[in-house]
Amino acid sequence: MSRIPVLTLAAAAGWSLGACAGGRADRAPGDLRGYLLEHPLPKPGFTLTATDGSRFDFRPATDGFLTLVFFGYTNCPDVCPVHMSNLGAVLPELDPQVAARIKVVFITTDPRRDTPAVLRTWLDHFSRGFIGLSGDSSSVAGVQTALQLPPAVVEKATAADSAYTVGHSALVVAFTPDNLAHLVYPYGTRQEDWAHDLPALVQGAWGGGRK
Amino acid sequence: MRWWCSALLGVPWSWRWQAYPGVWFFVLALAVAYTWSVRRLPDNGQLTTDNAADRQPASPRDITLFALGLLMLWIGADWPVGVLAAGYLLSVKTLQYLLLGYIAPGLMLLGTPAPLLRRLTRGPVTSRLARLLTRPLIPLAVANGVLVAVHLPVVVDNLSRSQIWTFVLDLAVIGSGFVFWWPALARLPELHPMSYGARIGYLGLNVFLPTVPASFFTFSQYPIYALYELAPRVNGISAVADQRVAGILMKLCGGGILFGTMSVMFFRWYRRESGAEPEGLRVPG
Repeated sequence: MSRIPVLTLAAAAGWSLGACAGGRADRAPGDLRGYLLEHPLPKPGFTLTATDGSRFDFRPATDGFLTLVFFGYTNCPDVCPVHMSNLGAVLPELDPQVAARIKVVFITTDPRRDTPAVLRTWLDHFSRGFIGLSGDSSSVAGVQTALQLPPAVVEKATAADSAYTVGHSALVVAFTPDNLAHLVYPYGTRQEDWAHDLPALVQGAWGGGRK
Repeated sequence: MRWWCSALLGVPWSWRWQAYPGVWFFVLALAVAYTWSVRRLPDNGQLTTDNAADRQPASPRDITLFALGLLMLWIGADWPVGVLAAGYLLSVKTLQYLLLGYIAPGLMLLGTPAPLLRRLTRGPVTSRLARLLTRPLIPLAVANGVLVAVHLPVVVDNLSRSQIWTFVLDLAVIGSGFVFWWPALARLPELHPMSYGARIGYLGLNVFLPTVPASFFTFSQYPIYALYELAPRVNGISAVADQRVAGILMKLCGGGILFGTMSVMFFRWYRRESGAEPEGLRVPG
């Protein structure tokens, strides 16, 4: 078994971001289905390469949007396709005005295999609107650290090996329109949960209260 | 070594063959029991009717039907259908339900010679049970109760990872299949089976009841089962698409089996009424 399910289990069991960086996540009060962070995370500023080859300046490009950030890779056998598939299935079912306020950003943890073209083809499987970003390993690790996530770990890859796995966090970090991440969503988040929470988050509601 | 197919949580689907010896043992045990029982029949079978078929304890047709039933059971319970059904695709679970709950028991019941059925239902408890199950209300309740129970999200999501529980649930489905077909096929005239018309009505009612879960599968906006929604994807099939295929399979194939049986019964009824039913026909009434 790869490392992903281990991380997944930790996340599903109420894994705390503090395990790596001093934060804390609890099941959100009220009726939201995500896990509420004790200390909201500020939206980091970073620039990576989009699938069309352009530079993607994350903070201004997502300003004012509900932005769901996930780190993964296209050869991921379990967590990544399930998260992306579930989000890809739910967004078209939402009110179009709500869906238009949501951006899904997938940052590859396997730049060696995930070329922009590969990443685009894979994401299009789920939604043509998903944003795919790539960068060198140290840049991506820096973003993960900024989000208090454990950096991805390439397992047993040699120069000739193209069938390796990459251990990575299974959390989707949700930045609300105030440019803070109040909630995270572990592997195990269902389509119903997304359909329930996303409209509320777009309206600026978290922790059971609405702004 | 795993012995019965159950959900392999978090493990990506692989077409690499896996052995499930518990399934082989189960199918082999049924085959041995059938062969042994059928071979003993000429000595001990109680021939209580003048029906010509009763004088042939196990015709080649019986053996073929029973063997086909066993084959369907084996296909439904073993890799890959059993594993895909237990933890990856709801559509395959539905196919498995049709194999284990409808096709295999029906074929096996049709392939069991009447003298053997008579022997099996000779005891005080089994004879009472056989008479009870000949009446349609209890089989209707049992078959549809099992159908609903094994499709409850709480059952599917929580029990599918346990080999013992999947074995118990598969046994329940197979058992409910025998209970379901018992009054419809009504092999023993001495149990005063329902008329052809009543049997057609009984099957017709069973066409409509599975429509309820089938409709949930087909028209539900989001996946019903966390197990299949969160399972690693198989060939990129989305959870909702898989669920819709499951609903269509249950409705069309399940309905097809029952409508097919109803049609055969109708024509046999017609032939009997017109005096053209051949002697020794298996389905009395």
